[in-house]
Amino acid sequence: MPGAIVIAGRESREESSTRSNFPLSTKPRRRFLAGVELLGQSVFGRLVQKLEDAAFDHLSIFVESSLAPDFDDAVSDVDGYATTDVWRGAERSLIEAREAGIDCVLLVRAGAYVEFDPSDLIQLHRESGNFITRACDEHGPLDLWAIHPDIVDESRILSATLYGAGEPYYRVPGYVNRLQNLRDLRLLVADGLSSRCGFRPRGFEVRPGVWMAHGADVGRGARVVAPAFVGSDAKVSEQCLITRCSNIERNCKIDYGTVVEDSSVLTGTYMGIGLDLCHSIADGNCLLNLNREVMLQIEDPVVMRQMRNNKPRAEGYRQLPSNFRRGEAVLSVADNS
Amino acid sequence: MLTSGPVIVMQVPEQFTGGEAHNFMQEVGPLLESNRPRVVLECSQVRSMDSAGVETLLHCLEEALKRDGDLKLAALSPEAEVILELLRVARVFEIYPTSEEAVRSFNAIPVDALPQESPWYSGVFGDLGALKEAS
Repeated sequence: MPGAIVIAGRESREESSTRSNFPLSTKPRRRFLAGVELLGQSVFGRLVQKLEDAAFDHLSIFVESSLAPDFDDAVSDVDGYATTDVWRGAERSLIEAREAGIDCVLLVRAGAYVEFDPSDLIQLHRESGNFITRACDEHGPLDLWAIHPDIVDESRILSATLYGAGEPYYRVPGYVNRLQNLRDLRLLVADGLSSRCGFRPRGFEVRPGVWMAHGADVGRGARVVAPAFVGSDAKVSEQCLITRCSNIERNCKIDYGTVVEDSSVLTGTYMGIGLDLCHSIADGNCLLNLNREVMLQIEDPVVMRQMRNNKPRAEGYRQLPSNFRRGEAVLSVADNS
Repeated sequence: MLTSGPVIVMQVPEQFTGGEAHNFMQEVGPLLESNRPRVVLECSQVRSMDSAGVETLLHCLEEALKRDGDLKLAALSPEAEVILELLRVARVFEIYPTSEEAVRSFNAIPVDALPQESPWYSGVFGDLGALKEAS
């Protein structure tokens, strides 16, 4: 009977210094990219949903406390899973799994978007007879492991054991986006809207390639040109143009006559009247231009701002299963049996 | 402030917002009141610009055009470029990669340099009289 653990923690300084292609290396990364809502749901939310759908007997989620605010759009009530040390939480969860007689646990560190079949990985792991099987793609190893709970050893740090493990590797056959930087984030949106991967918009395809979620409002004379996405309760005002793989996320407002081209407008962002947003990511009053690799804080609220009435999700949004146990802040185990 | 002949080159401040933009306007205003003002605003230092800054640039351009002059932008920093494009005003200005090029652009057709006895078109078409004789 397999189990699964999902952890979400910020990178250590050592790990982030190994990134060679992070375009904004001189600036701190504001948000945890796996928690950012894209095409209606975050990478983290999609991962949790995938594991739920795969019907693991035990599913544990640990989110670093400092990241919890970034996850408001990923899963509901993420505070219930917040902890200061996600790896310690994972260790305790593994010990529980061992005591419950579970022979294989899938451990995923949220970050990259990886399309894989959990049952494939578990099967390979069991056949190999090893304690640790790590997933990889053509660019190297990924933060996804199938492990035997017996690897937990009080004298060794779990993260060091996992990152130090070598072969065997499970080669992920599907699409992988490592979400290492904001350029990757735009690429994921473009690939999702262009059907190059399984990162599909959460909404209705109102015209070929044009996706809208519940409550999206497109004004008269506004044009939404495929492929594009307008999220729930987002408003696109009159005479606007949304085009070239652009996504307007939940609770955004694009005001009169503004053009959004090859850009992402993240949840709850207001874009003012008559603007030209191209090759950019807009998040509240923060604007990142990918062509020039410039990040700007726009102090003028009539140009860009975070909407004050950033409404919560509509009723009926997916909740984590009610049988999640939240007795301890550091450990949450689902038991579907 | 640097001057190069009749063309005035001015540096736009790093923080081109609210109060700074107002101070800048106070400084550049008298220059724009001359006859046919020719101004280049060098924007390489600009790190931040708000709508007050953009409004100041547009006001300067308007004043220059009103007096039959012109105002050009040069050496835009990436930040300034992004803001001007976002607010759709980049297309209103003539923009040059360096202030030297911007200054040269004012003298692209050196009318004053032509000798007065020659007709204006001789610089472009050569000596038409000689052509006539040859035909």
